[in-house]
Amino acid sequence: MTLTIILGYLLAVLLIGAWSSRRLAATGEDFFVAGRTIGPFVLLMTLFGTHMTSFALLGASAESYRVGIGVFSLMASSSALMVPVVFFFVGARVWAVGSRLGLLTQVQFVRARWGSDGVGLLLFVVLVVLLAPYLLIGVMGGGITLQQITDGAAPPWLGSLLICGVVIGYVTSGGLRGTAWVNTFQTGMFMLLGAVTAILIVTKLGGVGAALDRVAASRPDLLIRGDSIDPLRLLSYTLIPLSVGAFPHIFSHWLSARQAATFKAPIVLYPVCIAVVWIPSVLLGVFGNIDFPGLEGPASNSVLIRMIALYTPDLLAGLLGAGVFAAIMSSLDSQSLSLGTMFTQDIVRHYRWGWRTQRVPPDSAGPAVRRGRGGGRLSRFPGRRTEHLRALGVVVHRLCLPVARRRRGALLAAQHGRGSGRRDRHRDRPLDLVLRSRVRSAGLQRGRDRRDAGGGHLRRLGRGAGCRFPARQTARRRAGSALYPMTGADQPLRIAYLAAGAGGMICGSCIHDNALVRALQQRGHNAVLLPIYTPLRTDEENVSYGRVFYGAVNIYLEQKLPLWSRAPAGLRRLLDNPRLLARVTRSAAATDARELGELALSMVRGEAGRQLAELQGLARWLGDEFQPDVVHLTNSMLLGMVHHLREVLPRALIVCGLQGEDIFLEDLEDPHRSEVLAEMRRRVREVDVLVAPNEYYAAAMAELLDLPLSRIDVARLGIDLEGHGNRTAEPAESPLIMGYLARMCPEKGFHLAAEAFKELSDRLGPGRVRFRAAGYLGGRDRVYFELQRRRIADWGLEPHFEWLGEVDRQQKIDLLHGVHVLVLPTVYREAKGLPALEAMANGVPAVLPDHGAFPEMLEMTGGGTLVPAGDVSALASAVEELGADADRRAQLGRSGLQGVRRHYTARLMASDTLASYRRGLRRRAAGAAT
Amino acid sequence: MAATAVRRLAYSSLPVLYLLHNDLWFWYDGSRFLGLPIGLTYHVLFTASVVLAMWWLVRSAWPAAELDRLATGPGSPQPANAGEGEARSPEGEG
Repeated sequence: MTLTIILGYLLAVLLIGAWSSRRLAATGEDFFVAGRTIGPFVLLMTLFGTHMTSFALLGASAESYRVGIGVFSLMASSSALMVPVVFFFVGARVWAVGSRLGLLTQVQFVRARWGSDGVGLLLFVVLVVLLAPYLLIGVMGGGITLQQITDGAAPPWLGSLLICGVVIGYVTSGGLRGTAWVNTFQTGMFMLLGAVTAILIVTKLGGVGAALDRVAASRPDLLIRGDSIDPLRLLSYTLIPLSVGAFPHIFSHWLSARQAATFKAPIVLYPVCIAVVWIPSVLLGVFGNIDFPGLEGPASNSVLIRMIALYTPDLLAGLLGAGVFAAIMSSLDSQSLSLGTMFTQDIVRHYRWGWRTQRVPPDSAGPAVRRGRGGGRLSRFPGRRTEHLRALGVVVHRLCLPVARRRRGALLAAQHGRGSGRRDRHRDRPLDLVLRSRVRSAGLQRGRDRRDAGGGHLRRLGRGAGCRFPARQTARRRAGSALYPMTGADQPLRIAYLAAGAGGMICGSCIHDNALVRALQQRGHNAVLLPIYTPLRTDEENVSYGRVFYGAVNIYLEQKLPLWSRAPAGLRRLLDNPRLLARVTRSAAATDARELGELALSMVRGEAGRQLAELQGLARWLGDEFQPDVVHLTNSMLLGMVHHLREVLPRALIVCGLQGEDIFLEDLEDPHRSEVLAEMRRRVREVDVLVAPNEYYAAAMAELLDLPLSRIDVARLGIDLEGHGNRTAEPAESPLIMGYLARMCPEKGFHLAAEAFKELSDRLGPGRVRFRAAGYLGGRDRVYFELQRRRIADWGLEPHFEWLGEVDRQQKIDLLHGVHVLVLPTVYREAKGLPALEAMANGVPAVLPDHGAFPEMLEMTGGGTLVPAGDVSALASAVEELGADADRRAQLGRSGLQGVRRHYTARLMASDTLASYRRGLRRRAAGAAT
Repeated sequence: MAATAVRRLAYSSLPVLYLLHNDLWFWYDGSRFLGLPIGLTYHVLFTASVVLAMWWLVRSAWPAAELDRLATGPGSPQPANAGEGEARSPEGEG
C-alpha cells in the first residue's frame, strides 16, 4: 500500500514535469531560468521547497527528539528572519542585475563583474565541491526513507534509483519551469501532509496539553532550552541562513522571477511557511519521547517514521512517505539543475566546447528583450535617449573617480570621459624604474645642475632619480631687467603643466598632455608635467613628475572631514604616494551626483573651498621649487587654483586648457551645476590665456563660459607620429574589416559600431565582414561591454568579432594596419578624437559622426567621411561603400596621412601652444608697462 | 510621517528583531503560554512578528528606484519601469 502510494506520487510528479515541458521554449534562458517568468506564489513555494530539505521533516523532528523545543529557535525562527532579509537585500538586486545582463549563474556574475576567468573557474569548482555532498545526501536519504517506510522490503538502492530517475526525468523535460512547478506541488504536499500527520498523532496522544504533560513528567528538559543550547550557539546559528543566496539552486530560482516585485510574496510569507512546517515537526519530535524513549544515534533519526507507523493508518503512512520524498526531491531537483546549468553555461558554453558557431535563437537575445514584450531585438544603448542621458559609462566614470571603491576621490574623472584604449607601457615595472626612465627621457639635467635647480629641496624630496629640472636661467633672469622677460621667441620657458590623472584609466587628456609636454621639452623648454589627483597613464613615454598633487584620497577626505586639512603634513603626503593612489584608484566605483557636485564646487572655489591645503601645498611647491614662467592648467575644472596661484606667483602666466568640461558639467545636477558654472565664469576672467584643441570646442566653451570667442586660442590637437604611417599595404580585400579603437563604453558608441557590424553582415552576408575592436575597459563599463558582446553572440557573429582588449602602442598600430576602415561613432560631441587621428596617421580612412570635433578634423585632413550621428544605417552604408571601393579608401588614406602630418602633430601642437604663451606674456608685459 | 522616516523605521526593525531573537529571558522557563512551552510560544510569536515586519518593509521600504536602476544600468536600453516587468515596445527601446 505504502509503496503504491509513493509510486503514484512519483508518477504525478513526472506528469507535472512533462506538462511543464509543453511551455518550454528552445532557448537556454527558458530552460535554465524559466525565461524569468516565475510568479510570486510559485517563487515562494519553490524557494521554500528548495531551501527546506527533508531535514525540515525528518531531521527537525529527530533533533527536537534529542534537544527539545529549542530546535525551533535555533533553526526555524532564525531562518524566518534572516532568509527574507537576504531575499530583500540581495535576491531582488541579483535578479535585477541578472535580468539586465542575461546572467544565469553565480559564476557568470563573478566573471561579468571582475572579468576574471580564473576566479570564475575557481568559484565553479568550489560550488560543485560544496554542492555535491548535498546531492548525495538527498539520493541516499531517498533510499533510506523508502527502506524504512516499507519495513526493509525495498532495499536502499531502489529508493535512490527511483528518486534519481524521477528527478532526472522531470528536470530534463521541464527545465527550471518544470522544477518550479513540481516544487510547488511537492512543497504543498509536505506542508499539508506534515500538518495532517501532526494533527492525527497529537489527537491520538490526547491533545497538545496532555502530550506535553507526559513529556514534562519524564523529560522536562525538552520543554526548555536549558543547558542543551547555549546562548552563543543560538546567536551564531542566526548567521547560518545568511548563506541562503550562496546556494546555486537558490540563486537560480532568484533569477527566474518575473520581476523584482515578485520577491515581495516570498519575503513576507516565507516565515509563515517555516512555521507551518517546523512547529509540527518540532512538537512531534518532542512527543516521540513518550512512546520511543531512549533512542540514540541513527535510530533517533527515524522517530517520526516510527510514530507514523504507530499512530497513522497505512494510507497516511504512504502519503507521508511521499511527503518525505517530496521534501527530498524538491531540493534534489533544483540542485541537479543548478549543477547542470553551471556546467553548461560556465564550462561548456563559456569555453565553447563543441559549438563555437552555434547561433542562439533570436528570441533568446536576452532578458532585456524577452521579458514581457514578446521577443525582438535588443535596442541600442543609449541610442537617441543619450543626448541627455549622456552615456552612463561616462557619468559613472565621472561620478566615480579614482579613489573609488570606498568613494574616496571623485572629481578627477571630470576630463577623462574620453580617450582611446591605451596603456602605460611601464605598467608592469616598478615605479622607481618608471620614474628613472621618465627623467632620462625627458632630457633633464642631472648632477651639477642640481645645485642650481634648488638641489637641497630636491634631495629632500628624495626621488632618487636625479634632478627633474634644468638649471634655472638665473643668469638670464638677472640680466632681464624687465618685469616679464620671457616674451622673446628664443627664450626657453619654465612651464608647469598640471594634468589630471584618471586613476587606472588611460585617457585622451592624459595622452594629449603628455605628448604636449614632451614636445615642449624637445623644443628646449623646461616643461614639467605635474599629475593632479592620481598618477597619469599613457601608452607613450610617460614624462610626468613623480609626485602627485591634490591626491585623490586627500581631497576626498578634506571634502568629507574638514578637519583633515589640519592633519600632519607627513600623514597627508603618505596618502599622496603615487603607488598608493594608483592602487586605490585602479577600479572606479560610483559616487552619487550630489556628492560629486559638492566636491566639484569646492574644488572650483579654490581658496574658499575645502581643498585649500592642497592648493597651498601646490602653490608653495611651485614657488619654492620650480618658479615657473607659465602655469598651464589642463582644463577649466581647475580654475579654482587660479586666484591663489596668481597671488603666490605674480609673474607667472596662467594658462587654462579646455578639454572635456562641457560633458562633465552636463552630468552635474542643479544647483551644483549652476553654482560650479557661475564660479568658473567668474574665475576664468583671471586667466591670462585660454587654449582649446580645435575651433569647435573653442566656440562651445566660449558660449559655456560666457566669453568672447577671441579670448580663446586654438592649439590644434596633435599626436606623436613615431611608429605611425608605416603601413605598406591594406589587408586582403575580403572580408571587409571594420575597426574600433576607443574606450569600450557607451559614450564612445561601441554599441552603434556593433549594430553597424550586424547590419553590414546582414547586407553582405555572414563572414564577409569582420569587426576588430580594442580599447580600455573600465570596471564600470564591463557590464555594458558584456551586454554588447552577448548581442554579437546572439546575432551569430561572434566568430567574426575580435576584441583585443587594452592595447599598447605597437598593438594599436598593428590593429590599425589590419583594418580597412575605422569607426568611432561617439554619441556625445567629441572634443578631441585622438583615435581618428591615429587611424589617419596610418592611412586608414575613418567614418565619423557629424558632430563635435570631427567635421573640422575631416575638413582639415580629408581622411574620412562623416555620417549623421547615431544613424547606424548610415554608418553601415559608409563602411560598405568604402569597403567596396579600394581606390576611394586609398585616396582617403593618403589624404588623411598628409592632413595629420600637416596639421595634427605634437610638434605643431607645441608650436601653437607656445605661440599662445608668447602672446600672453607679451600682453601681460604690455599691461604692466602701461 | 515622512516616507524616508518610515523607511528608516522599517529598516531599523530588523536589528531589533535580531536582538529579540536571542531571548535569554525564557531560557530556563518551562511554563506554558497559549498551550505551548513559553520558549516555543515566544518564537512562534516572533515568527509572526517577522511576517509583519517584512510586510511593512516591502510596503514602505521597497527599493523600487534602485532596482529599476540596477535593471536599467549602463548598457541597458530598458525604461525605468522595466524592473517591474512592464511591457515595452521595441520602438521605445532606443
